[in-house]
Amino acid sequence: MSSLATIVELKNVRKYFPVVGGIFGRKIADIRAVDDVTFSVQKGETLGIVGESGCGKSTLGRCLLRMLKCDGQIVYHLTLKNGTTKELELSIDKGSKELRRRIQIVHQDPYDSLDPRMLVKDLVSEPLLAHRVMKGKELRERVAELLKQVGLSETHLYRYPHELSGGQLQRVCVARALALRPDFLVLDEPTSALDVSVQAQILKLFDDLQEKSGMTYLLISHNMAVIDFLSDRIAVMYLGRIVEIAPREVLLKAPLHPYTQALLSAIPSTNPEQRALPTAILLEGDVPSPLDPPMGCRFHPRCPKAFEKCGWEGRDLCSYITLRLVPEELEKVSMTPSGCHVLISTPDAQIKAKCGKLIQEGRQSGSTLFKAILRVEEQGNDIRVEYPDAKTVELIPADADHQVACLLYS
Amino acid sequence: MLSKEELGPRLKEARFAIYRLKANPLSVLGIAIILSFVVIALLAPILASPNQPDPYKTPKVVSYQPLPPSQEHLFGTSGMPGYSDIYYGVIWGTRVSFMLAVVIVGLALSIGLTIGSVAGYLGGKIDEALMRGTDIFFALPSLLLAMVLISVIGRGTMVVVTALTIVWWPGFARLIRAEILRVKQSLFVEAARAMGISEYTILLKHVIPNAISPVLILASLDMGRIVLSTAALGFLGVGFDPGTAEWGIIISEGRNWLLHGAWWITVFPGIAILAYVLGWNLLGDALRDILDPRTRRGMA
Amino acid sequence: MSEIFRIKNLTLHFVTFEGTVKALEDVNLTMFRGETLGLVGETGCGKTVTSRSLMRLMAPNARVLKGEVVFDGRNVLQLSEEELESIRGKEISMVFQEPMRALNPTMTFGDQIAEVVMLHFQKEMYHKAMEVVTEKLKRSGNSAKSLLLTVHKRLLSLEADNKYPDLLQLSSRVPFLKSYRDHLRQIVKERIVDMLKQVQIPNPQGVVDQYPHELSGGMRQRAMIAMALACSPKLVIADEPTTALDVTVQARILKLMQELKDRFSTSILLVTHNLGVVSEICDRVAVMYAGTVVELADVVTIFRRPLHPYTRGLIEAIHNPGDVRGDLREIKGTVPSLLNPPKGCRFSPRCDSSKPACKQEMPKTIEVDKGHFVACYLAGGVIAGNNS
Repeated sequence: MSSLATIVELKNVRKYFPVVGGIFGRKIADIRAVDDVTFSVQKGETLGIVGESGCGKSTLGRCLLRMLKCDGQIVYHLTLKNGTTKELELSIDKGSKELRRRIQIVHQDPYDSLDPRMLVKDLVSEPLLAHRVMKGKELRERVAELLKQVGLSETHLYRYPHELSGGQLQRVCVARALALRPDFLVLDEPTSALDVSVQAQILKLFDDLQEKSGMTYLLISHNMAVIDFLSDRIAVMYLGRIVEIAPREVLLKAPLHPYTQALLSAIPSTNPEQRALPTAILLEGDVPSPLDPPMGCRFHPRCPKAFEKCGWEGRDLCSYITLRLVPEELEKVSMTPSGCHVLISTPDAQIKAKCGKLIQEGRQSGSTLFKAILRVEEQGNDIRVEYPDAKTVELIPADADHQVACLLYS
Repeated sequence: MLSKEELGPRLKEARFAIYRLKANPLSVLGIAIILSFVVIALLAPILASPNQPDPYKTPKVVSYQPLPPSQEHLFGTSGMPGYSDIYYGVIWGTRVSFMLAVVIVGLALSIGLTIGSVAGYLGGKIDEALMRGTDIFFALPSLLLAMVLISVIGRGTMVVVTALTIVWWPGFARLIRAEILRVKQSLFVEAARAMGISEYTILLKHVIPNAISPVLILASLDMGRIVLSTAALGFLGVGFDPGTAEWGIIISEGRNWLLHGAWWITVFPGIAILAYVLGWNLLGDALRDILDPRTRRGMA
Repeated sequence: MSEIFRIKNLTLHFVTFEGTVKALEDVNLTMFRGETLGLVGETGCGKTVTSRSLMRLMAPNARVLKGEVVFDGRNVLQLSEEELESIRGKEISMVFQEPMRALNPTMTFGDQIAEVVMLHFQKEMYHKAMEVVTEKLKRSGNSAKSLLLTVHKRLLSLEADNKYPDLLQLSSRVPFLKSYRDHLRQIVKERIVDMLKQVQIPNPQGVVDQYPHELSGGMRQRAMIAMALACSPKLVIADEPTTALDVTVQARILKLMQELKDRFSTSILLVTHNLGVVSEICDRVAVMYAGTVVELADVVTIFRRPLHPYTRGLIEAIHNPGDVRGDLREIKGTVPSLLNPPKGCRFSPRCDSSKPACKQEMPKTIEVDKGHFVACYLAGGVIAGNNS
């Protein structure tokens, strides 16, 4: 399966996008697209990164190709022709042409990732010309060979992208990516824009190519089926962090993180006699904004298995109360969460009493949101609620080769 | 050059463009008008033979009163103070207008393209600086600015060309910048970067060809509009040497005689201007239809 | 079960620069009241065109060569534009794939849903508003207020009957008088909030004043569903309603659609290429390929005993997490161009089991089992000149 050599190592990789505001354009917040990601990819394997929209997987893919500058360390270990390994750290050897030749990407949308004004022959030759690898007759032969490798024929050489179907276009993208004989291929949602039957063709193509050449793949997708078909190991991402990483069979049979469990349970089955929907774990709410992710474990506001230590904070209480007041009441209340405390102020005594009652009833009901409360103080027009401080949850080994970022397993 | 196989798909695209053109009768009209003007401009020496050293000056007809159209003077004459043969002026004015339009639009396009591309692609402080620069031009009314420039630089047709070019290029710069900003974000630009292609090559090979359509449309519309400006300058007597065969100049000669019924002095050149601008407008619209990404077969 | 629509022998072509696209060829499809029918196929199979034909919303270059589209007893293809407008949005409504494209980004949710409600329930809304004003009149003691309310009521009734538009325009500028529309707004808003509650949008009163870009994809899709159900339509056409959504959000939306279908007693035509979604919520499934319906059966049969080679190929081309990787089979070739569709059965060039007869004439649809229709010679269809 995979050899013991590592091809790329990521350590504490972060990518924040600053949000500027005000007249002076000062930074007011960060979109934490990728927040402290650490893992490594072994030579010859396929690591699948699965997650839903906004989890940062695409941004991570771009960081790996140095299309985005990011913090942290990304170190590639490339084998040279004479057998020795060369280490190339992205932040230092940023534009290194060597790197650009060995690492390629196949993008999500074949319609967008090809220049609409270029013929297929020029599109596939472009990387070879740009790196001055070959030209003339040699180039033409190589292009024909590449097209054949991906299942296209010479008749496609002289076509424009808009004359080809989605599946054919994606093959062109793959041919182009293979031109420089890369060691490492990032596949960013390679089949999302394609029809079902075409997806099967492309997936099998990737499988064959990997068998023949021993390439390493980093597969990014929100589609668990695609991830499952190609991956040896799977990493699950949520809001910029990896929440679980394990070999494929292990993750599917025994997912540990509640988010992974929910994700897997929501996958529709193609057996109408054993439908997934009736037993699917349905998650409340939406994915929170990466601008200011939830404290502690980022998944806690939606987690069906959350308990007191998971990082409950002021904002969760604010959401709870907001849903239980009418708009007229909400207008008169101001709720200011700041870190672990939240201040609920209202000049209206009735509303204040209602809020107090909600909190009291919540505590009596024993729900974890309230169980986690440290202290409630009432003073004048204010109610002050304090929660314990919570640190971000790190990945911990739950088993051999199986890591989870969940306090249930610590 | 292009091999036989490479020609094939390109011809197909060209045929599609022609199909779209034929489908719209107005665009056919526009093309017809422009082609007629081109023919007139080319055949000027034959249609109105010059009998003086400088063919671009309208011959003087000694007659205080404007003479109405006749066998000898097909469109009449303008009397005092121009003494011009209107027919000659309109025919040779076609040549002058075309030449002015081609040179001015050509120069302005080149300058605007360069500056706008640099600003749009590099962004940041360079973009800011260049755009503030072009903003100055937008703050002032273009014709007025042209007149001021002319008064500073001097006289003559070349001065008109220079002044109008300076006033015209910011429009192109701004447009190409906007398009480049849009194309810059495309996935295929990102893909090119990931392949390791240099930024300069990306700009030239990928970004500009995909951003240029709106600019071409603007250029064709401007071919018409520039003549409105040159005619205005001619009418006001600014910049051109007096007596040049220019439509605006001839119209201005008719100012005093309009109330006396000498309609031919203003009407004939007026119709020329009208037809010319209309032709280019229709052509520009046709171009926009062909290049419209939504109705095209796929090329952006 | 009674029928809600019946498409009979629909043949539709598109006239384009490259030639005539034979988009639909003899399409037959029947749907029953109260069911969820899945219309499955890949790009270019004609499922979208078929679904749009129910409301006669085809592109201007479409030509119907023959066939009928009978909705609720009336042939949609022969109705007048006016009659069609009363069907669209009211008796048949649509939920689109990308809510961001289908919703107007410059209008709040409230305004957009109000548009639909006012379009189809105008009289009812006005009458309700007038009732509210009558109630307020009864309770108000103040004579000035009573006078104002009476005037409001009169204005409302005039507007409901479209009388004296000039007078109404004038009143809409006079302070005090112009607030007569507030009663109406209140009624409509209540209706909208109720709709949003039904689709389980949290904080519906707040959402009414929000813009599409302020909410997530899942929320926007719910709002679209609310708009689609606002007029309690007989049929909801859901065109790839969850394709743009994450899988966890999709699960919730699908469950919501099931609940709403029962609550509103409506029927759902689910148009999609996602067989998983179809398997989860559909009762019957119609599979389309290159402009024809190749197989139609109840959902269990389609997945357990698919008879048409294309249906089989589609199901085998799906990999479910946990499946054996080697079992994934691709369908060779590509979808044919419909400018020059293959002669005979349109799937024959890609079919492993095709016989010479398949390329001669398109197979007729036959009922192999009760409720199981297939258009394939190998599934028992009649081969021309053969008595087997």
